[in-house]
Amino acid sequence: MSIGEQLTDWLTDELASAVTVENLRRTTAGFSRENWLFDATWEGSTHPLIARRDPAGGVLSTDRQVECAVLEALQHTDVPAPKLRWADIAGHRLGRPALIMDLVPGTCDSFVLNGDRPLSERLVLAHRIYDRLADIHLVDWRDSGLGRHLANPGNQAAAMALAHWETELAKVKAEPEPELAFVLSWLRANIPTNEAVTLVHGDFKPGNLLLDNDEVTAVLDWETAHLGDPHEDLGWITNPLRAYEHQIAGTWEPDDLFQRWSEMTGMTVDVGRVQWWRVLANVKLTVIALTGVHSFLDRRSDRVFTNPIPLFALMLDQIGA
Amino acid sequence: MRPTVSEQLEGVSAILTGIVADHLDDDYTRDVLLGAANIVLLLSRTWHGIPEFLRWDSAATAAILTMVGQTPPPPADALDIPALEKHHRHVRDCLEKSMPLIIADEAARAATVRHFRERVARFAFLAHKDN
Repeated sequence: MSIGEQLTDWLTDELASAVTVENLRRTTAGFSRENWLFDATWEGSTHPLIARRDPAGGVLSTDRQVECAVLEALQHTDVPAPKLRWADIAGHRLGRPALIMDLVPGTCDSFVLNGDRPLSERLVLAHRIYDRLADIHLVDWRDSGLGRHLANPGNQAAAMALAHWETELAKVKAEPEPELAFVLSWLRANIPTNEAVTLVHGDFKPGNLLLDNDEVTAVLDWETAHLGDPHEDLGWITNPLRAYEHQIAGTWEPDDLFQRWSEMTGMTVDVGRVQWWRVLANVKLTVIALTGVHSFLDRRSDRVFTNPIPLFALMLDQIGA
Repeated sequence: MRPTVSEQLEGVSAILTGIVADHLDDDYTRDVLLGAANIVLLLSRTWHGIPEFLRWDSAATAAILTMVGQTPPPPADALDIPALEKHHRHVRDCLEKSMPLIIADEAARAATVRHFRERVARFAFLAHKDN
């Protein structure tokens, strides 16, 4: 049965009504999920939707149940997120776990902050984008019920995150990685504690946002969301490796970003702690790449992933080695 | 012997991008094909440098292991690529397991960091050099 037929059957059962699925196409964006865009018509109305199916072999191993809980909780907050329509966690409908969401209007541009628009416009856009990150950190996760689905790390967010990524590494490691052993040893020896516990996006970037008329219409890709130290997101967005996505040289650099974030959240930034999270961000990127390698070696991937050796030089710089 | 391995790989990449890709209507499939063709092209330019990289990396790693009193496995036959790869994995495994000893020894730690950096530089050179 084709994926179009599978989607038609799924929606027909959910709606108890005749449904037609048209304009089905798979986007080329994203390695962590298959994204299928389509129009579904029922009871005389047409609805643009997106189905996101787990790939046979991807670059991330995440919990779909948690993602659903986050998406549902966000509907009652200031954070713009896609509306979840239906979820099939067991993978009975499309062969693998899948979610169907409303297709939010807007376009995605990973490098929008360094495009050819005037600097003043890009700076306004930077504020709008990173104010949404502050909104995420201000979500009242206890009140929204997220505490029932996400583990609260208390003041041990860094230790918990490190343990998580070490576990993920052990699952996918195909060969010895002495450089990672060296960096992980530094991370273990320098684990910080945290005061605040907030919702953390885990992969906040312009490439995970939709913009419509320069407004953020949706923050996407909540599969790595969890409760933790907001410094984790600050380390992720100020990782030098991703500067061209997140920063505008000379105008919107880490200090500007931290100042704006502090004004919006009322929280202070511990720059030393951000640095620890930057190192973990690169360990995380390495594990993501190695997950891709693992999928490729298992013949579950349609892309060739290779060992991310160049990341090691950056991590050595970051730990002062 | 013509066509050389590099010429064959480069030719296959050109067939995929210049002939096959034009006949694919589906954007996703085309994207996957072009990605695969690019890897084949990259291999055409780098494959012959890999044995030397493995030999150098293994020898330098073995020297670090010796600094912390570990006995590295004997080198492999330089013309036997699978044996070179196996030996390379073995010495890298020894290095990973010796990390607590290395971190505790200032000279070994410094040598290891130097080696890690040179390894990145040599890998980058290998990945970018033209045939």
